[in-house]
Amino acid sequence: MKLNKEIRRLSRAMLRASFTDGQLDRGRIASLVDSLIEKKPRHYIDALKNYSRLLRLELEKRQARVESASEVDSTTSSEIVTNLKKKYGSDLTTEFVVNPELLGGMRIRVGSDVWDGTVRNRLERLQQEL
Amino acid sequence: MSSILEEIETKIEGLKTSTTKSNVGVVRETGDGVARIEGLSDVMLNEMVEFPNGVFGLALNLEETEVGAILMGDNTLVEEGDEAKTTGRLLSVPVGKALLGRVVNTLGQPLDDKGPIKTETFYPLEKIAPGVIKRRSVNQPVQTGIMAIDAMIPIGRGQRELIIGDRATGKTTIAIDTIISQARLNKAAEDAKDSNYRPLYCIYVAVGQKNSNVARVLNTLEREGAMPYTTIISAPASDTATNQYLAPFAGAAMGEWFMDNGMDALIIFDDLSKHAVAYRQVSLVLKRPSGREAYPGDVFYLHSRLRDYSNAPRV
Repeated sequence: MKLNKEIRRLSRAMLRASFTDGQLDRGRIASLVDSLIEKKPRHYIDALKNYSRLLRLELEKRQARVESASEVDSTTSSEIVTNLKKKYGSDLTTEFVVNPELLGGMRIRVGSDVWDGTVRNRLERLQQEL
Repeated sequence: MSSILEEIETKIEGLKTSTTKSNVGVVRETGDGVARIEGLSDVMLNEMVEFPNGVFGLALNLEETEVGAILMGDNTLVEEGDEAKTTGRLLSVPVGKALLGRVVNTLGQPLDDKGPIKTETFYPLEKIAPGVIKRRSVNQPVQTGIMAIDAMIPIGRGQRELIIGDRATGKTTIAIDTIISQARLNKAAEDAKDSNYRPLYCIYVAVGQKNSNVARVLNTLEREGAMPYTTIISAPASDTATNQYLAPFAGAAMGEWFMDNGMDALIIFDDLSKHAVAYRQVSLVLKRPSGREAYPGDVFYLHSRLRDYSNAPRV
């Protein structure tokens, strides 16, 4: 979808307005969306779609997804959470997922950064090397 | 047998540096040899991007939340939702004397049946051209072997020359004749053991030509014994627009190696209007703004950049 300048400007302004003290504000987002729907400016549906996309990307930046082959014990997980918070700020939310396909090790994704220490990744690299 | 095992074991040892950090994105849209990727926040312009199944792409458009990449290799293997990874590398091609006498594609892979190309040096497709101070003025002619040209409008080593004309008026023929003439001169100097003569190696880049035309050129060069001094880079019309767009840069990289090693090379780009068409296709699919006849605005910059390499110290 090619977005025109107007849509992009509007959705970016909305994203900027949805923060209070550097945090996303649920109430502000809802009121922004409601007021836009009420006013119905030009291209408002596309602007809303783009706004939700920008919000999703913003949320992904503040969410860490920790995938591991087996259940992580509580001391390790709390250590991971504190380390990640040190690196990415205290408003980071962490989600733990068990994925047996990784075979072993752990894979952490925050936004578009990925730390991969899984056996599967190493095997894939070995396959490429050979 | 044991040596193979040892080799594998050392490779496994090398892989123990467990955790790797990478920057990833998700393919949101793909088609026409272009993928749009969401994420990839650390990607650099012209960086190679790795897709699953060993497909690589080149990041050409960096936007606010998305990256537009052109795909090399089988682009049907890339699907929406695939994960793309940055590699931190620039696209490079093999260079060196091993390429002489060979027909290769844009990525330097052989197209003739003469086995793999053994070379250890790789050059990036785009490099910053040497500055003005480093360049030497033209002081040695290139004998095209066509008397009218050599007498009236001589060309020298270290210069660029545009060959323009209507179709089927013999533009390619002039280029091929020049290659053959160089081969004869190189051979004569070799036979006479003349160490003062600097051989001129030739690189012929065929962009958007018919395969039959490339085959005909190859035949002519082989018949005249010019192939030992020549590399042909072929990105025929049936090739993807990406490969056609990159082929002249690959040729320039191969020519640069000769330049850096104190040798001379002649590059022929045949032809740049087809190259511009390939670039237009890539640009339009990447949704870049277009200008006259839908060519992107930087099409002239593209060609001037391409030929800027070629007048560095010696061609």
